[in-house]
Amino acid sequence: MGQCVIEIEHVSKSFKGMQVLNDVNMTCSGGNIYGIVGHNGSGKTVLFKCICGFLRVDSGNIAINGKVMGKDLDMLKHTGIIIEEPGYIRSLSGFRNLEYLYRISNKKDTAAIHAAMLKVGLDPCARKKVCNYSLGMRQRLAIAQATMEDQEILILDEPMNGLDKEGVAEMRKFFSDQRSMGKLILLASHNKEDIEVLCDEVYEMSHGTLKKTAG
Amino acid sequence: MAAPWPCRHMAAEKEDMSRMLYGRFFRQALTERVFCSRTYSVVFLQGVIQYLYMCPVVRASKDMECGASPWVFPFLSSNLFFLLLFMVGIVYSFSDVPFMQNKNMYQVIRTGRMRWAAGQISVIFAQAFLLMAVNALFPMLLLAGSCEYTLEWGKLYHTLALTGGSEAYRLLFAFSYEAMQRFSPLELLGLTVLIGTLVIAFVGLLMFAVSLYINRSVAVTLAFLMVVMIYLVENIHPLLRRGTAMFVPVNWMRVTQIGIKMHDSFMQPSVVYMLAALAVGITVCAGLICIKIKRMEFQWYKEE
Repeated sequence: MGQCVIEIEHVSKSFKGMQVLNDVNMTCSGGNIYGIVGHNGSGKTVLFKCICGFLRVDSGNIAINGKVMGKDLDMLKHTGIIIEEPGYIRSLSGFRNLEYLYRISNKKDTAAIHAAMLKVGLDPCARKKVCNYSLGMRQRLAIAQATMEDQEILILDEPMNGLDKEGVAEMRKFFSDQRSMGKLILLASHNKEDIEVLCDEVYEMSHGTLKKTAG
Repeated sequence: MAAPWPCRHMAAEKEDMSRMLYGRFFRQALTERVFCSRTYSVVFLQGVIQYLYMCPVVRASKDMECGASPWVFPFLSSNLFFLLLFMVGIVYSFSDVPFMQNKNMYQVIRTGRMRWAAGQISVIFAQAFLLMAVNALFPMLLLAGSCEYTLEWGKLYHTLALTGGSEAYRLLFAFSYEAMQRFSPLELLGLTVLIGTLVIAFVGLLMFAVSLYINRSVAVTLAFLMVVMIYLVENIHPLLRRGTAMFVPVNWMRVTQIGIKMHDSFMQPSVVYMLAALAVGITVCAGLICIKIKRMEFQWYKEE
């Protein structure tokens, strides 16, 4: 089976004259976890949004398996994402929220949702509404959302936010398992330990520029 | 050199092309928009307002020992103050444009830009129809105790239209005898729902488009201005009234004024003009929305 490859070449992006990404280059392939560290506002989330197709780059190319975002691809579908604060329909349970998204793809068998929720430590049968979820539970639900459709690429911005120590350990194992399944994982985190433990390559984003620091 | 497109992705793309039905997303998005606190509160308030408007009719019906036919909504929607309150509720129900809360991010990544845009446009239409249908049904429920199930206007409304009954019972809206002569109940109700649906859809699409091109505050303000314009039409010099009414779509929901003359001039433009103008307006808004979403940069905001 072929591997997913994301090629980021000379990507720049600015907002109202402020350079947020400056000549960013990076190549990622499946079966690896790529860590991106950097201060708040350094451009990590913007880079992730550009890869997903939510934002268009000013110059340069982002290609996914040779297909250029914005030209050949409209949006990076079949990708698991957690970007910024996860949002849900607050009046529904966690399962119903995931089912809602799952059915958009016209998939009917909900066993995958059950499995994804169990893997992240949530009870799929619980009727508790998302508005009553703790921050950690919402984060776990976001991870289940990002993985329930067996997505090849996972783009995770601070996925450990709000998780307790045990939760962090569980999720680290979960992401390692995903890597061994051949998934391409891009992970942004402020937690150095997460990055050191999980990532095969580490990049640092500073003032819009990306430098490889490890791996 | 890039690696070949993975087998699993190819399969997923094919599945996407052949099986991922647009209808599925439409149904999901409609459910989300209908079964939410915003819609519940709008429908509840519209129900309360209709109740207040219906009380005198029920009283008149009991006093005159004469059943009230259920086709009262066209008269209600032709009342200036009711229409104002009704449309304020509609503007509120669309005030979450451009539907780009954090939760929508997960939808867009699954649907793609254009399918998402088409889904939202269709949902606005469906929501408009449902709001009109529910409001057309309310009087039938509120009059249930004194209802006369007939396809005619019934004696009560003719009496209230032609005598001083309206004043005696302090009716908050008028029954138009001319409209009863010109249209059958089903015709007028159908026309009300049709024009109402198109007007609400136009308002919703205009708000969506303006929120995409400018911002949400301007979209809501513009919609409120469109609603308030019905006061201008009502109070402007009679000779200028029809000319002004041609540019105020919300006023077209006052269907009992269709074909009625005031000072040798029709109070409303013709139905053909209304339908054509709404079709053009809706098409232009939908086109602008699609063009913008194709190119735009998505900025997500937190849930309210």
